[in-house]
Order: sequence, then C-alpha cells, then structure tokens
Amino acid sequence: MTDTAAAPPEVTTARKSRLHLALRKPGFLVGATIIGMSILFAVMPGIFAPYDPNFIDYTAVRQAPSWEHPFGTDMLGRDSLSRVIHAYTVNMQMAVLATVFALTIGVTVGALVGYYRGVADMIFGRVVDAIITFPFLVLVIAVVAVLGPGLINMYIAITVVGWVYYARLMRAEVIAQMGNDYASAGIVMGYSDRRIIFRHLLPNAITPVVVYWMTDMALAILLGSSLGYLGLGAQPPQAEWGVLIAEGRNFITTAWWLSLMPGIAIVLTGLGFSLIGDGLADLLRPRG
Amino acid sequence: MTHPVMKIEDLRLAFPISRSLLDFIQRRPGRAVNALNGVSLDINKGETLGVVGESGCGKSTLARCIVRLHKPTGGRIHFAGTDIFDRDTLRDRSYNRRVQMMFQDPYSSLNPRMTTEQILSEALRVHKMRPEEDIPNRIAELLEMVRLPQDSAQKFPHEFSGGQRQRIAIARALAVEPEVLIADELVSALDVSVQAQVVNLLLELQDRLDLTILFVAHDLRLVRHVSNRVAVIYLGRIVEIGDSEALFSAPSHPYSQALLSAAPSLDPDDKGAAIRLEGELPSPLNIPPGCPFHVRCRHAQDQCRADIPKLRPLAGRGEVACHFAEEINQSA
Repeated sequence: MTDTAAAPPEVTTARKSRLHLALRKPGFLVGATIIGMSILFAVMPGIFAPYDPNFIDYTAVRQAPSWEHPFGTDMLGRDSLSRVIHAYTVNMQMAVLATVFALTIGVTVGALVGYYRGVADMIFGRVVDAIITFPFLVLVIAVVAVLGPGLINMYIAITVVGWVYYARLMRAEVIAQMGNDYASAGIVMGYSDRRIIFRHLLPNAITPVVVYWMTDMALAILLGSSLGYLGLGAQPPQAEWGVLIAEGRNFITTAWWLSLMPGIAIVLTGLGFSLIGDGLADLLRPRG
Repeated sequence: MTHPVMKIEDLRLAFPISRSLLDFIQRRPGRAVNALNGVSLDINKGETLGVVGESGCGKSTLARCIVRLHKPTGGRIHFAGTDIFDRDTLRDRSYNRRVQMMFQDPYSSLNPRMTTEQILSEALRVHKMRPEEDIPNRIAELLEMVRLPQDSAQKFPHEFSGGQRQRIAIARALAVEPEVLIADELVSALDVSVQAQVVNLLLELQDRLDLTILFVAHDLRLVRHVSNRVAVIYLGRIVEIGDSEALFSAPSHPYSQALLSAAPSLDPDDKGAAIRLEGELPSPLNIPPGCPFHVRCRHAQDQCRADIPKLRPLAGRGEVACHFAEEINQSA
C-alpha cells in the first residue's frame, strides 16, 4: 500500500481514454445522469421539493395531480412530490448502507478463503450453501423479525445475508487470478500473503464484484422499500418509497398517483444503477 | 571442480488425486500423479544447468519446487547449508531474495495493474535493497541492464511486447540481486528472433553478475547453446546428466539418444535414420516398475523390467541411469 502514493500521475492516460469510451455509451450516460440527480435529491431534498413533506393540509386531501401539486396530495393533504423527493434521502442511504458492509465483509472473506483454501474454504462453502438455499427476502424478514423492525436492524439483516454473494464472487475470481504467474511471482519474491492478496490479487479480481455491487444497490432499494411496505423497515411518517406505496394502497382505485409515483422512483433509480454497472464493466477492465 | 551452491537430494513430489465416494466404497487406494520420483542434482556456482525433457516429465515441477512454489513429498533441497523446507528457513525471506525465478508466460507473469516502476520498486522496497531515495536510480539502472528504454517505467504491461515483458520479468528478478536464477521456459512463448535477444541478454547478465542459472526448456538447440551442463529428465527422474557438448554430441542413455535424434539436424546430408520411440509416454499416475523407460526402450531386457537403474558415472562421459549403458554405447 505504501507504493501507491509514489506514482499516481501515470494512471491517467490509459484510464482517461476508457472513461471517454464509457461516456460515449448512451446507457452509461443515462445511468450516470439518473444516479447523479438521485444523489442531489438525497443530499438536499429541501431545494428540489416544493413543499414541506410533512405539512398537513386537511383542506386539500387526495387531490389529483395538478400544476400546484404535480404528483397530487395524500390522505392528509401532504404534497406527494415533496414526499417522493424527500424519500430519496432514506432510499439512497439504503442503497449504500445495506450494501457497503456486505461488500467489505464479502470481499475480505472471499479473498482470504480463495487464497488459502483448505478447511476454511470447505466450511465457507457449506455456510454459503446454507444461506443461499433460503430465498433472500424470506431470510431477511426472519432476521428483522428477530431483531425488531426499523432501518438499522434492516441494514444488519441485509448485511448478514448479502455478504455471501460478494464472498462467493470474490473467491471464484481470486482463484482464477491465482492461476496467473504474477501471483506465483509474488510468492517467489517472498512477498507477504497480505501483500499478495490485497495488493496483487484483489485489484485484479474486484471488477465483477463492483459491477455486481451496482445491481445490488438497485436490489437493496427494492428490498428496503419492500420491507418498508411490510412495515418492517422505515416507519411512517418517515417518507420512504415503500412506506408511501403502502399508504397509497388503500386508495389505489381513487388516488392511484399515491402509489404510482414512488413506484416510478424505485424503477428509475434501479435502472440507473444497472446502467452504471454495465458501463463500469467496460471501464474497469484492465488493458485497452 | 566448482562447489555446488544447491544440492537436491532424492526429491519426490506426488500430487494426490481426490478420491470419489465410489473409490472409498470399493476400497480402492488413493492415487497420485508422481511428478518427481527421486531427483538428485547438484547445481554448481556460476554454471548454467540445462534441464530438458518431454512435456509432463516434471521439469517445471522441479523448477517450482526449488523456489518453494510446491512442497515436495520427499527428499531435500540444500542451499547455503540449510534445508530450504526447514521450518526456520521457510520463515526466512532471504531465500526468496537469493533464488529467483522467471516464468514462461510473459502475459500473465506481470500484474496488469502495476506499472514497470511499481513492479520494480515493490521488489526493491520489500527486500530493502536500497534506501528510499536511491530507488528511482536503481530502477533506471535495472531498465538499462535489461535494455529497456527509460520511459518504460511509467508504462503498464499491456503496452509491451512479449519479449519486452520477459525483460521486465528479468529486471524484477535481478532487482533483489539473487545468486541463482531459475528460468522456466523463459523464451518458449516468444518469436525465434526475440528468443535469441532475450537469451543472449541473460547470458551476458550472468557473466556480469556472476549468476547461477537453471535453464528449463524443451528446445534442445537452445539448451545446447546456453548450458554448460545438461540434465535429461524422463518421468520425474534424471536419466542422464553431463557436460553439454559431450552429451549433445554423444548421448549415452537410450532415451537421450532418441530425444536428440528427434531434433532436426542442420546438416542437409545427414539423412541418418532417427531413432523412433515406440508407444506413448507412460502416465505419471502409473509408472512402470523397474527402469521407467523400459516400455519404450529398444534395448530393454529382463533386468530393466525389475530394477530401477541408478545414476552412475560412465567412463569418459557424464552420469547415466541405464543398466546397459556400456554395451549400448559400445555397439553404437
């Protein structure tokens, strides 16, 4: 890790041209725009939302979309657009917090068992089998049921289940990379295992994991709002897409916009992450 | 005679094959690929020892054992007075500094995400070969040594040709100032013209830096060109070892004779009948008893089917592992 500081400038040429290449792909560009906007909404929703998301107005309940309220209003007269925009904060937070810990744990464990193999790898294989046999959502709901509802517990639940997918991917990729002589050369050079794993193998093995991470963030939003919808994630009056859809459910025939608009937000963000993942696959590949 | 820097004694390596459930039920014994079956070899200081043999004969496995990429199942390797697989020696990284290896595939032996400079400076830093401020100078020196332009330092492996990459690999090995270099099929992935450049560079560096080289290759003419001594390996055993010129001009073991006569001659008048080997190389899963070569040998007799011949000196030649070496070479 000490060597990186010495030589940052030369990274530019090769990588910059690939960035241009990725930006020329319309999919990546659209994805980047969507996620860029989402991040802006998440960081400063107050600037984009026309009203206070929690302002209750009993004189304007369940109004259809209009110029005044583009997404209509809900059963308490709150502005639906403002609530959808404010929900970006918690939903984008889900995308990150429900995945980064799983990513970190998964990459580390996967790299270690892939490098050392042996008994640890066998035990790891059985653990993976055990966790993967269960449907993801069912297992997460079970963990939340034990810990109790709420966002923090939801992150814990998703991490407990989600890390195996990263670890499995990382392990396979590290094993594939070990077949390359540069790994053997590291051993012959007398480098420490830590250096070989984290400085040589990991950067070469991480690309599929990063790409998967993007799709996983989309899935995390979907999962988070599913749990919100079921009442196991974010709790009302918190503006969160799953919660918003659940609130609108009772009025689905008369005030369809209440559920539709947050639904569209989920689809759009999910699409954005997937498109970025696609572009990153090209961007991160070594060699031109 | 010069003294050996490395002594290999009766080195054995068997890779076990995982047994299936059915094997357990039927009580079949576990099987193993016998890659090395008792290799004994001295590597002398300053020499180039060529190692030749067919694919799968164990020559690369031998090379990988020497740099501790494989742990042998039997035998010993002595270097500088210690067994290199000794618990204390294993922990000591200086062995890795003193014995270096270069690999066959120039496209996988360099980390694709590191520049030449990063590759070389890592080697220099880990083994503390130079104080921090001298590292850039040393890198320039190393590039000069392997005749790469100075701007190579900032480039990534994919920007180089195969021959240039092998030079970087040589520079990496030399960065830690080793005494012994193991070249495992160093140039076999390169074009013939580039092969000559890389090999000549290696020989020149050997002179300059007083290196001992173990040159593993299947290209016989190349081995003849670079080596002082040559060992011929067959099914994980050395069947003949001797001075390069003597061995190539008059091989003593029937296998060496067949191997060398398979190489095309440069003399257009030489229409001499090549000795053709019958049958296939036996599987290292199931090595024939007695002399491993007897199933393909023209001179095989009953003794060959029963006793394993030991490597023994032959008058006026190198060492040969053949019961009937004298008779065969007299009649020839």
